[in-house]
Amino acid sequence: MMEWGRSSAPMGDAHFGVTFYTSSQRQDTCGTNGLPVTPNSIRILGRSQYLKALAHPNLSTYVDIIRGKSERVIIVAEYYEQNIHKLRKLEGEIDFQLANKRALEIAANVLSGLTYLNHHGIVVRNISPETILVCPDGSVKLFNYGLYHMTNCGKYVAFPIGHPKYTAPEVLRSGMKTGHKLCSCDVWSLGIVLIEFLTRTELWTGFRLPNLIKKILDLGNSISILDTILEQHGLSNLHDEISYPVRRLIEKCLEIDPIKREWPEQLLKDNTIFSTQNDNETGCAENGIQQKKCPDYPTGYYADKFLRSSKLLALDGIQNIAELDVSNLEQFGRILPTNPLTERNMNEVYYLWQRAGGDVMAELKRQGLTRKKPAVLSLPHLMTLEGLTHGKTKERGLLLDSTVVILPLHELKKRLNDIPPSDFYPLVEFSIPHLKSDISANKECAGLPLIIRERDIEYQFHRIILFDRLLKGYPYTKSRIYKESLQDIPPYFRAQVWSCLLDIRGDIEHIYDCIDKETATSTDRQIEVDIPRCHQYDELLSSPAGHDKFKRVLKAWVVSNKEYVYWQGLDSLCAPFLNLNFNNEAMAYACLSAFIPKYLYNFFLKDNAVIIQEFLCKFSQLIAFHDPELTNHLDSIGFIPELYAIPWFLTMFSHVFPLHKIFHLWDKLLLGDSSFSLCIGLAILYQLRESLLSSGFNECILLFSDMPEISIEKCVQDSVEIYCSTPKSAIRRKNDPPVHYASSYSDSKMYSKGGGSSSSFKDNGNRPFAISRNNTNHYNVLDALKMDPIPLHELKLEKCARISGDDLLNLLDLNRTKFQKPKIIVIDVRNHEDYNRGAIPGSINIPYSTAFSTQDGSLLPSSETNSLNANRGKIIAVVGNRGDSAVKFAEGILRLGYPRVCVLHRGIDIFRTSNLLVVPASI
Amino acid sequence: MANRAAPGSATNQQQQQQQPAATRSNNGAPQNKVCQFKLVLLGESAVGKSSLVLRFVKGQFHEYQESTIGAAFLTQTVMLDDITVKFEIWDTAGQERYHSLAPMYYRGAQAAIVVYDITNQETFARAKTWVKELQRQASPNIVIALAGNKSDLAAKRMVDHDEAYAYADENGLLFMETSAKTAMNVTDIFLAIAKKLPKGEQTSAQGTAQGRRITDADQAPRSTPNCCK
Repeated sequence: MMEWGRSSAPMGDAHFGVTFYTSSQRQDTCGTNGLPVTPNSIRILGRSQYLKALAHPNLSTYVDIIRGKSERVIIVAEYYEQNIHKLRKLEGEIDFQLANKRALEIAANVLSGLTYLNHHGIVVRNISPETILVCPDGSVKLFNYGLYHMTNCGKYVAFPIGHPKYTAPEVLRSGMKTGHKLCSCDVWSLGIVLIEFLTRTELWTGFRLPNLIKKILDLGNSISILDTILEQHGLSNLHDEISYPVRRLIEKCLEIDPIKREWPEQLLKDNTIFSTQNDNETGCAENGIQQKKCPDYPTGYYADKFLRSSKLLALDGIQNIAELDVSNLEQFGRILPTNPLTERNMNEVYYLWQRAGGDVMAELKRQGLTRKKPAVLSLPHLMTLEGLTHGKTKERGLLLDSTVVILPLHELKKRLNDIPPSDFYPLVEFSIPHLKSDISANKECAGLPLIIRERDIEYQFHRIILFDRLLKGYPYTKSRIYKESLQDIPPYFRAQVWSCLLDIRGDIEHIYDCIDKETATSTDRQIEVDIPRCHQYDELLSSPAGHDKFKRVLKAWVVSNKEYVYWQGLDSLCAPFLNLNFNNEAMAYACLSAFIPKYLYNFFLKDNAVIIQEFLCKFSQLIAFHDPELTNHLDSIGFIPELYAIPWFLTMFSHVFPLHKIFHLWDKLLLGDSSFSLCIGLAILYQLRESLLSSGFNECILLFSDMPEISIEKCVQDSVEIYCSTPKSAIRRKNDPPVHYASSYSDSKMYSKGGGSSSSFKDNGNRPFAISRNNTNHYNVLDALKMDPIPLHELKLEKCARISGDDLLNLLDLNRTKFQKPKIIVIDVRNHEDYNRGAIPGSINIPYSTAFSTQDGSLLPSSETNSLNANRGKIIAVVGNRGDSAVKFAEGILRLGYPRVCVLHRGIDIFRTSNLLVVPASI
Repeated sequence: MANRAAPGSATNQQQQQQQPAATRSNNGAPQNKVCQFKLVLLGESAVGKSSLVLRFVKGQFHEYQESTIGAAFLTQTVMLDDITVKFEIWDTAGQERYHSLAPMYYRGAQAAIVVYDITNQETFARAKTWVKELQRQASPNIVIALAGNKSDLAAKRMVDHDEAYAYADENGLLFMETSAKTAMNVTDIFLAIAKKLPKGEQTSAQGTAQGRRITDADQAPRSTPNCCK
């Protein structure tokens, strides 16, 4: 069982709080490599992704980080209106017994959160009473704890991070922006916060900044910092009110020497402070355990060793389901939630909020927080010729604004109001007929264009709920996931669904960790010059953090696939996976590693000429099969796929389209096999058909240099249609991936539902060979009916694809079990004598030698020719003897514009030993 | 441009190949001669081949020019006195692995620009091997230009201008340091090539034909009879 979803906490009573700041603009516009310098906001965006993957009960969840205009960075995170600062103001008379207890609880929560952060290499540097939020259940969560991390130690912003009052002396001394990373500095801040909390006094008010800093630095001279601070504020009388453990804790926190000061983890283990807490509701000992239990997201969330059911809690979060008394139904009554939305996880709710028209930027604008001084007002008064400026006022926007905007959720709630609560908990395995289910409503929507479906909140809501359930059951639900994906893949779960479709399982983290991604190799230079050019319009992929990940994944692939080499284009191939799994490099790597053998088998061999040429030959044949007019035109101007289609297939179109199009294209590609990509190629040509037909060589190739807008939805529809109406054997390649790479879904079941086209002849018979298996008694030479690999040099000579005996029989459907009418007509091009001795039932005899006019190559009229014309549009299988007359005939009628022409592989001989052939005269 | 064959017609295309455009204007009023040349860009990856072409053809510069896979094709026309010179430009993939495709593009080319990056010594070494290969395998009359690109990054220069110049001189190459970013010398190098190319009937005729059918060598069995190699 795998934990798929982003397992962030359920929404509960949380709000979405929005904070924002402006990153500093860089003076230099161009780096030493000549490329423009990455804007700081992009750097921040890349670094901050990591924060989204953190999950801990004492940390507010980062939900989204957005890059706004003029270098603004907007952060959406879990938020509660109550915080320590407000708490301090609210309460009246201090009840020290309670306050002491509460202080320890808060400290335990904060330290627990800090410990988790330290394990993930993060120092907060931003702890203050405002950033410690208090949840309704009394526990506290750190807020905005990633500011220092995402701004790379504050280097990307103009303002200092952390309130000086709570900042540790060593930080004040060494500078706010040095990469001083001792995590004990956060402990100091906690100490100050605790004093303020206990005494309900704001320390050092009325001091100007230099004096404040001096005050803090001077503390180093005192014996007990706590006492000194109390004394400074005339609070010495409170000294005895503070309980021993709390005093001890604060004194340990306020150790002046950062080396001696204990780390959060050490403090948490201190029995003299936290030992008596076991019986408390939110005791720290329990918290310690909780922290171990909670999935350690970035490293270990993948392999979940626990049964999910063992962790199920009743909805108020208190009682374990397993301990519930099942006989007592009233208890179950409690389970029905009043607002099921609070049970969904935060990312999901945020995603739906956006579908409901939510727009963070608009919300900020509404509150008047995005206003910027007009540029003309920020001009300096004086500028010397040397470029020195005078009288330029400081841009206020560059300073930190601590406002937190709460996103209103009422619109979302309104939109989801009509959804019955039962839809939140659909029955996935069985449907109960009398229960009104969402399926019917969803069916209506399913017919709408994809772009509308993706924006429809109700539709996405149902899809998310459904996929959430299915993904949790992976791999046992694989076939169902596949089936649902035929309809569409909800963008919210795309990363996970793709991984399922690529059959990723096992301990991918471990595998990835074991790969050497650091040692320099000869490929490094190439990878390094390619990455800064690959899908760089994407904010994530263009960030330095993105480049690092990109490099590691590519290097990992190259190192672990010794038989293959890095071809330019591999970077493009990796980009969609990395974009989707930005916080999960191991998954990006696993997807890439699974994708290549399935869709690009042997394409990355050092010498891949044969593979690519065969692929392109098959592509030419596919064009000829479906669109003779286009083939004839392109042939006449010498416009061959080698000139334009290599980047298409080598990168499965990821070099050709932007990411959002690749996503939709691959959503379908991943449901098919490698030959499906040929159909995509043809579908693209279809959309450019008019231009191609009216253009000469230069215009044609220019068309592809500047790829015009392609509608992916249409392209996908067309490709499915092409795939379903092409005999499997016609696009079989010698270099098809071995069976174990091709997924079990690859051919037979593929699109049997999704394509929905009546022309699909893969509906019946699970495998292309099914029919021959049924008729084993009749046809002894089964192998002869199959398609064997055709050598490349032979393949290159043939414009028309070959069809296997199997497929021919299947389509001919002699027993009329599948089709009303046969899908195929057979043209026998042998001479009359041979034909009359035995032929395929229903075949039409047009001997090659007398078929065409010698003048213009047209078919000479005859009754046979007439019946050929009458069946135009059906698949035309040309059957001949061993010679090449069949191939020549096929090319002859291809030239005349007959569509769907193919040649029977190995000719009539394959039916000799069967009892299929009949004497035509006897019919 | 008046002499250009109508697009889309196969017979016209063939005609154009057999009969150089430049010579078809002898019956009417004196018109510009139109010469078509096939030009190929070669060089290590990320030296700026595509950027040079983009600057020359569209006057644009993309900081993050995508890598080229296989090859890209563009055309541009320049006026040289009274002659219209039309370049059919094949911009190739730089990665060494795509080397096997290169002959398909430089075969029959009348001109080549071998590009290196002045901030990277290795790319210069690679440029030299390209020149050697062209001298050995491309058509004997090919005009080769050496372009030291990224001259805007002079501060990071690793390849000495004089060294490259001496090398070019020795091998009879045109040489310029260019910058696709600032557009320095970009049009100039193409013009210099245009000047050096023979505008006589014969070469032009032959060249265009080859330019048109660049891949026939690989497609030998199916190739059309009028393909000249």
